[in-house]
Amino acid sequence: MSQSPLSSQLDAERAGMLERAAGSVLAIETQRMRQSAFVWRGGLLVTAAEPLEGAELVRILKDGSTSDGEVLACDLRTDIAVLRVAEPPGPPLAPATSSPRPGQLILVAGRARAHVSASFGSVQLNTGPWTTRRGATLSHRLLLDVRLAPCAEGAPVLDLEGSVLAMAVRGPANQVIGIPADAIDAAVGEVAAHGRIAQGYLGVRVVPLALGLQARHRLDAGRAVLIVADVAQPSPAFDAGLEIGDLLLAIDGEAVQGPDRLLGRIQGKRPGESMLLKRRRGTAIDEVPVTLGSRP
Amino acid sequence: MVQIIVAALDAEVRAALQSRLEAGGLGATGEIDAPAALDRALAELTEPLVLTGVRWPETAQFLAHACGHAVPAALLLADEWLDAGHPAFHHGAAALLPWPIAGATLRHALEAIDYGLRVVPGSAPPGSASARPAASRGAPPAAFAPRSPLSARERTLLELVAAGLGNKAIARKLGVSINTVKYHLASIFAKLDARTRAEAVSAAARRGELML
Repeated sequence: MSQSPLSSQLDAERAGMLERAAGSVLAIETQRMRQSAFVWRGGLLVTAAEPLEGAELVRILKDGSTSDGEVLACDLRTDIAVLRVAEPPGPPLAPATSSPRPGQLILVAGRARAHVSASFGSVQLNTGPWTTRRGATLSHRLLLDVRLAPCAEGAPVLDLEGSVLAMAVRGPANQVIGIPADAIDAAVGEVAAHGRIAQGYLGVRVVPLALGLQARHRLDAGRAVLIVADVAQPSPAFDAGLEIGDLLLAIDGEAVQGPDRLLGRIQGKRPGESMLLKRRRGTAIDEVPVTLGSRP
Repeated sequence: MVQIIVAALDAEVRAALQSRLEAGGLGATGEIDAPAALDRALAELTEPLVLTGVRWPETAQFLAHACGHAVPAALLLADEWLDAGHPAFHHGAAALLPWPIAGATLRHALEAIDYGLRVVPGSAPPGSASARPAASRGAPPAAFAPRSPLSARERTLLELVAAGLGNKAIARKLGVSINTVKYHLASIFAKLDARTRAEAVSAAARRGELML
């Protein structure tokens, strides 16, 4: 049976779009891993941070040639790493202007050495603001229904116009997650301006205490409290008067979940931003405003 | 002999703890009504022992201070379940005792602590969750003093990892070789049962070993 003219036309458009975008996608590798990266504004490269595992130099492979890329920033919270190369290998990919819709068709354009590795799929889920396991707050939680080739981690997720909706990374339970384009843009902007991605710092070590039902009622707390086990000196926590033994009940009005979440809340903010801690000391409960600093 | 500090938020509880000590033929060196005051008291005494009660987790505030000074703390708790799986034990309590308690029992327990022993009621072996209510199962056994704690060097290094620095940058910052950094990282990963840097950072945060 012959293909209908419409579908063959769509197919040709898709192939053409992929070809254009693929010029800005590269394979990168270290001794441990191979993944994809793509060109963003300012000629900086973007890829997934987690698989880099602290590497500071990666080999960049494109069209049979090899060059070095320097890792400028590696943000484990958002899973975004920003790299610099001597010469941008292609024009920057443009971020999509509209928010991804569930069911929207997508193309993940990765690269394995010299070859383009494309996977076709759709946006499975797009919910509002989302705080990741590592604590970064992203504008969307994007779950992608697509097969992600091993080499395609860190590859751009394109809409059918060739604009970037997100970066594809592997999540828990073999999920494929999209790190939204606005987060990528913010990270690259920050690296371009400051040379790194600044994270907030409070200066406490905390230990979680899970609470039983009775204790929750007595303390007027959620499922857990955090007990301050140490306060750094000097630090924003010290300046705000936090002490060892203080119980933290809520952060910015949200009942405490655990130290992971606090870490995310803190690192999700920039130095100079403030947060409000609901603190219990002895029997007294008060709200402690803290202005975050940066890690010494 | 040890100097016993009675610490509780509530005056009635302090009086009750005192009376139990007296019933056991012991006396308290001092009474503390607030966690911050405990900090000052512990700094002055040579061989203190903190006795606190009777509710969890309010007593955790005193426990944290005692652990911060490496001072043993005995908790008298009115909780329904007390065994080696109780979070207070994971958080470094030297003794978990049921409240109310007989004077003689309290005396024996405090003597045992003085010998450097830890005292848990019940027959459940350490780490057993058999006697714990369902609601508390799966609570992480984080501790003020974890069982295989990170060294000060490892903590410093992990904080740099948390800040997103690569191995080479960490080596530069600490003035060590990159192999030393890798060696420390391997040790950190083993202690925290982590496979990646991100896992190590989360695990350390959960265990209260990372400055946030």
